[in-house]
Amino acid sequence: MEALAREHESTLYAVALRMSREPSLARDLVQDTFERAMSKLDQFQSGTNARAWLTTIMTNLYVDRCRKRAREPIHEPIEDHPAVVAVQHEEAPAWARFSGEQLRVALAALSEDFRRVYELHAIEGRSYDEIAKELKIPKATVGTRLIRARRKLKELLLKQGRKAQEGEG
Amino acid sequence: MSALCDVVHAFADGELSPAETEQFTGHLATCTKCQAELADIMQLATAGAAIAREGVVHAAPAAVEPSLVVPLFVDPTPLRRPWYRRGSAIAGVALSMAAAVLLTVVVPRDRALPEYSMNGPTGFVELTRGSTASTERPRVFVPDGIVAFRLLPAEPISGATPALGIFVAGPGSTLARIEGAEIRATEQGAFAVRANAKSMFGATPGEKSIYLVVAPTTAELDALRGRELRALENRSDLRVHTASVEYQITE
Repeated sequence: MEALAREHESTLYAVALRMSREPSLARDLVQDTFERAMSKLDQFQSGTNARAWLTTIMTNLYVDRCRKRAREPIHEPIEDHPAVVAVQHEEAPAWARFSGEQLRVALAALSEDFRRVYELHAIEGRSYDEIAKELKIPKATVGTRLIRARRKLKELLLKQGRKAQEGEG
Repeated sequence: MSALCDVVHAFADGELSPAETEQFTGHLATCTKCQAELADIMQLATAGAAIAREGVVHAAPAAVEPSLVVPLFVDPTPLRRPWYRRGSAIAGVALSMAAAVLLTVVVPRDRALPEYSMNGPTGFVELTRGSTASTERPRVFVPDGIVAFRLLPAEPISGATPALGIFVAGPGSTLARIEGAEIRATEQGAFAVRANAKSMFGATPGEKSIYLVVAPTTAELDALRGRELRALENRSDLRVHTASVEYQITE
């Protein structure tokens, strides 16, 4: 687990921080993710994609927190809640078990407009505003290109996954 | 499907205001469509962040061997001395790239560079052996700060303790020596180089050629400062290894 944490902690934190915009919340979320992963380690199949597995756990934990908050009075600190409810689906979806190399291949297949926006955002960590300025396009266009880029990437990664399965079979 | 479903991407990207975020998280608690969409976004986001951490910015063309990849790393250690002198004159002379030996290099992807303590590589140079086509320049995203990378010249550098210098030049500019660059020979004929990103590449995005020059003594290197690129041509006493990149410094 230590090795997993070393390898994935900064990645998970970067994504959690972007979403929550709150360092302490992001740290808690990542910490909880590793704690949960530790308790479920026996369910993790060695050799499968740990990044995808941890991401699923983190997303589920976050959604569970949102559910908790929605059910409880807002003024009650979330830390006072008992442990979050059991997460139902901790297995990462099959399409998400792609490698960095596979993502790079998929990225290369995107059209330049989408790839550029995606790279600036996901890899360089730029905000919509910064990308809009850099590429001289409206901020709303940055958002729509990102959405389309993600959908296309998922489609390409699904195809890659299917091809790999056919290759094995 | 609610109108709030439209903002799940902006939410994941931290682009909503605090009030909008509050509203959306309430919606997320019950909307399975948004939960599924968020799960997809997060998978791509962590994979993208992992790529950024590995330092790989764009896909390697299929023809490029995976080993022909040079990661650029960030070293958080501040430089002790400021430096950098750029060539002053602007001249319109381009070195014939065919005359230069390509800086080929490289570090197998699965090999770390133990000589530096890396804190998150964020860029990489991708070079194709033997390729000098200007349209094939790799794009490099270089973080502001100290970058470290390793060069493996196409041919071994031999001879008794030659002098080594790193020079850079943009299109039409003269040779600027990277004064603060640390260059150390490592195993297998490779060289570890550490330099300030802005000094190395310049703050303005664009094209830059990097030259690793091997000379018999430091005097020859000193004499190259501010000279036009053709000063490197037809010099039997110099060995020049070069690569061109499109770069951009990221803050």
